[in-house]
Amino acid sequence: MNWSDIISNALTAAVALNAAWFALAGIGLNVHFGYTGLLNFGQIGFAAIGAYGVGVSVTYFGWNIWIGMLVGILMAIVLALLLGLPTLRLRADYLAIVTIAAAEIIRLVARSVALRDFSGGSNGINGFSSQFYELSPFSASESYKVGPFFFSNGRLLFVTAVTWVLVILAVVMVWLLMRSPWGRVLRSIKEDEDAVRALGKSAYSYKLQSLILGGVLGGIAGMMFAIGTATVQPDNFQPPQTFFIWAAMIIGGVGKVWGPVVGSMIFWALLSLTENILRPMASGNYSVFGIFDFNTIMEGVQVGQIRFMLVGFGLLLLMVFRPQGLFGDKNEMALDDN
Amino acid sequence: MQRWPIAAKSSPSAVAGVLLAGVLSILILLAGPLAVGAQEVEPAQVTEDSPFIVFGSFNAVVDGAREPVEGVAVSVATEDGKVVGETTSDDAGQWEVGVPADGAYVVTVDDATLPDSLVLGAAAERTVELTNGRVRVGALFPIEAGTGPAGDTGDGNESSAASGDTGRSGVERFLQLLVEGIRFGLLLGMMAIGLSLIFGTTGLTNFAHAEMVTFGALAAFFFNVILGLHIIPAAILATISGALAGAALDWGLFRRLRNRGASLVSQLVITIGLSIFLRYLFLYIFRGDKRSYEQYAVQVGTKFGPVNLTQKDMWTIAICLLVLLAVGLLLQRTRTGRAMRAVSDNRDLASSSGINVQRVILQVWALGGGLAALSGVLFGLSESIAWDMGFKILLLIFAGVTLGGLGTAFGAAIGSLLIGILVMVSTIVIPAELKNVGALLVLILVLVVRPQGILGRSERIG
Amino acid sequence: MTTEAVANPLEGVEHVPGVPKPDPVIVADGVLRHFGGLVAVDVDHLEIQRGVITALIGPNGAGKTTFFNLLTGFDHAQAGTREYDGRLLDHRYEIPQWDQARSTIIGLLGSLIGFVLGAFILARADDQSDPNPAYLVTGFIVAVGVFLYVRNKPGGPQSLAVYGASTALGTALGTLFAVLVSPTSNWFSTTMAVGWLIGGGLGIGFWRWATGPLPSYEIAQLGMVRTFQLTKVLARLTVLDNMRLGAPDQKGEHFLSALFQTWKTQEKGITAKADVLLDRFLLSRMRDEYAGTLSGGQRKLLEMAGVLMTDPEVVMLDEPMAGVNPALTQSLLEHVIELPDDGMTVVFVEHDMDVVREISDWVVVMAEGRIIAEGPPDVIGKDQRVIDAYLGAHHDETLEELDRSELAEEVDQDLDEQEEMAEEVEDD
Repeated sequence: MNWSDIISNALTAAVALNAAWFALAGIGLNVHFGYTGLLNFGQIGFAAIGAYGVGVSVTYFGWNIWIGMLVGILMAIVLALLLGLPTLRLRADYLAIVTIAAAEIIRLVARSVALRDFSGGSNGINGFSSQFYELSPFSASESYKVGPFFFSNGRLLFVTAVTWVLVILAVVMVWLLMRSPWGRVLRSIKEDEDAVRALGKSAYSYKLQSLILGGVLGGIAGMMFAIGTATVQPDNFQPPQTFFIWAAMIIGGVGKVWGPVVGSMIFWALLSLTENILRPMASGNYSVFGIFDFNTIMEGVQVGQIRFMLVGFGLLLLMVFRPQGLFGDKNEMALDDN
Repeated sequence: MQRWPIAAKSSPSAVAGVLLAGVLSILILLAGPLAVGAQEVEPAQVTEDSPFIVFGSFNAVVDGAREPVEGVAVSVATEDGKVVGETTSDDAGQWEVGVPADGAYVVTVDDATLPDSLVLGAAAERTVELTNGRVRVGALFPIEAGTGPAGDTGDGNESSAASGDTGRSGVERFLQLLVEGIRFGLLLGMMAIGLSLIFGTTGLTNFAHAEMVTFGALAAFFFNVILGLHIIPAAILATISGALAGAALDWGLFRRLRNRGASLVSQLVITIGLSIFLRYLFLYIFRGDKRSYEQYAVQVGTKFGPVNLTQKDMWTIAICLLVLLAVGLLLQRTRTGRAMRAVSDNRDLASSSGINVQRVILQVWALGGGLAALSGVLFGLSESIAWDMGFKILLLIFAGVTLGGLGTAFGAAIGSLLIGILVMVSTIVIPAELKNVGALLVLILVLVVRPQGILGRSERIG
Repeated sequence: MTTEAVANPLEGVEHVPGVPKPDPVIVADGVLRHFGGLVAVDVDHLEIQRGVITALIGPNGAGKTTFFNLLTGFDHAQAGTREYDGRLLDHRYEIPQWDQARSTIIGLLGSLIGFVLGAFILARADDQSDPNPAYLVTGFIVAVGVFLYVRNKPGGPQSLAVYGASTALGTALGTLFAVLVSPTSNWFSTTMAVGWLIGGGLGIGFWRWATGPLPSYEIAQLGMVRTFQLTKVLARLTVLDNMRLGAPDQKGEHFLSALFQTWKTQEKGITAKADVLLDRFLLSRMRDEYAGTLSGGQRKLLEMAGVLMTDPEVVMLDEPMAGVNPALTQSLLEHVIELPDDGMTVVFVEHDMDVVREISDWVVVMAEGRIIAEGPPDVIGKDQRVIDAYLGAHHDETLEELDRSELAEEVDQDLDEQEEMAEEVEDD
């Protein structure tokens, strides 16, 4: 095992596209849950609708990719309205069930054979991102090393950089919003809707605005993911993805402006770290004092499985012992009292 | 002011009683007739060759008369595009392709091989599913006289939608799917009751409930295939293991969280973590294969009028009904059941009227775990056993619980039954690959129109 | 008594339940709320005089809090009407009566336009027969024209409701029509279903909005603001933020304004107003603490101060003295007594007869959901029915005992509610 490689890989993973779009989607989720208390378990559905919005616009309708991105954002708004209008008057768990169901509906419909011409069936959509990369100042055939971070080609560097810029914009926006009276109403709603109503504010309207804002951020995240991988794959948008975004948000601290950003960087760095530590163990002959060989308990294919077991177990432990996140303030248990 | 004259004690034996009723009914019902059935059909069937077949026939409707179409090329591929077989239709218009395993297949017709005068009346591609123990599935492609785009009378539309099956009328197909839907719905109901009771007594939405279902199937697989027990004792052991696992989860984890005053949302996220952990643990241990039990893997169905059912399907339905009945009796008639309902209604009051709330919740977890495991075993009997079999239907379980009304056990059973029937019967009008979409849409619509569910109490805010 | 200096406006009003007042600000008529078979509130008629302090008393389970919830829109009655300041709270707009013929014509027009729109949208979506886009443009212009014409007419909003609902229905029907007459297509059933869902959903939603009761927050905006029996302060906000939250018409509560930070000036004014009130309620010291750190009595004070931030006309206090220590009680009472001097009306629910006698101008007694007596406190104190119903039942019980029996009562209601679920269907 080469530790400098492992650490370099983990650092790269922390700033890679995956971490960036997770951060963006996580900021949206944080607006929903961290500030307003909305249980959105279908954030990946917003990402999917954003990705398909841009993909279908370009490949099926032949529009410009920038119009496609606008379409993606509009679709995310429409989805938020469709989900929110009927359910935000009801108890919080209803939104949870409806959002997770809606995310599955979007995925299943998009991958259906009936819509193959439109949304590409189970193969998804390819070939819509070239307009975006035309703006790239970096060479597509060269690899880049930015400080300790490695990017295998210029396109990847470009899309990652753009996504991080979007992340920073989103953070600034959320920061500005949450210290305004608007954010004050959201935080009050999280704590006690009736108190807010009694003072003459429409909790419903604010919850809807919050759902739209966070949904649009999720949609943009999905778009950047799609552009970055140059493909929209329906099975990239399965329900567990939402849970991973939740995990990342919780690691960083719920209700903290930087929480989702820090959280997704740590989340992906940890995934890379475990991958790079476990993988050689599974194939090589690393043993504990010559008594116990690791490759007796895992094979190459099982490394991924063990990683996700660790994700699940880590999430569990985190919630049991540090529900405020790794860096949260113990006195402000963001997840409690809900 | 005591609503429940049960007072201080409620016996854990009642829960055990229901679970025992469940497993006993398996014994009584399966042991005799199914064993006989097994002798008749089972061993000879499983040869080297796969029993799974996709078939169909091409008939053109010309001037109201059916005429077989010969020589049409068909290819059958897996969902991810791997072609598993190709053939052409014979002089009766019939074709048949053997496939290696159950699952979904995409059937594609090469419409260039159709006679020039004819065109396909629908898409040249269709997805069919071999599930629920079906070994043969038909893929139907209506063929019409080809004069430009399909008929201008509006008639063509109807015929392409309705002429669903080879030589089977729509009514027959409906009845068949209805029965399959009832079986599926009853299984969902058994899973949903546990989820609903846990929600009712603790307010917790347990995302790891699907893993409890998978656990049941895997445990039965362990006892049956690894340890070599017959499936019936294996099922009983799996059910007991499920109940123990449920109780252990409450005792070891959730009781402690409740006592610490952890919020429901953080408990919910913990169930998500647990669900991810268990699912990948199952994958790690069980690998990604789809497997089946030693006994009753493949059965040939028996005809009951228009409905074709395998014996294991029938016994599944019978066991589910018996167990649901037993659970109903438990909740209505026994001291334990009334204590459960009391805790669901109002925990504080139940506690102050002398009910041991912690123990009732433990019993609910045990009951829920046992029912989930048992339904997992039965589900594994008809579908293949896999590491994510429970997670795949988690949303349907949620749909059933919500449709019936969050927190009402009876409602959960009825809601799940409706969802099961809907999922199956809807394949008459929508492609099989979208059958879950219909159910989830109904879920959302119900929430819009009647948020408290069919049987839930109205509880609207705002 | 607060109105000694001025002539008492309730002088000469008869002491009978449901008696008319000279200047009522709240009028409830025939208000009925039952949970399953259990009648919680059944008020034939009640008027509450503007600018005085009215106490609502009664034994536990008399339905006082439920009645409060009904008046302020936190619960909905099965029957009856409520008026606030001459405005009906049960329907946003009355269902058209002023000019049924005109409503009908407008409704028909709406359906027609919707019909054309629906058919057009569907045909476009299918790329089949393609109606002239002129239809769409004409339809749109007519739709906007009708909207503008109706908007400012007397009773216009009612007609708008009819218009909106019928347009939506028309859209759905138009979609159906297009399906029936157009050539076949794979997409028809899907588009039709979507058309129906969206059209119908919008229509129903709009209809409910237009004819349904005013939601609680709008009633609060009108000026009838309440507190809760279990104090609702926002523990994770500072005391100052709790106060600022109450201020009405805040620019910064709009998304764009919040984003572009154009709210700072207004916020200064709000903060100044909050500081004055905090000073008056002796909470200045706690200004920047989290509200969660306040004592029970301080929370009551904060809640009341927060209500005053909204510039209310009617202040509804649900058991303002419950759980407050005796030292603070006097301070709270003084604040309540001052409110009518600022032109406010006060209605409060209370158990303690001494408190009631001390501060109220008028007392309304409820028992078993009905109003059994009304009158000035000294008269009510001697009323035999009141003594039987209320004082006799609970006079010497401690608050804890009352709370426990109230809890039991609520549970009982819950259970009855569940058992008679069938009757609940009509409720939503």
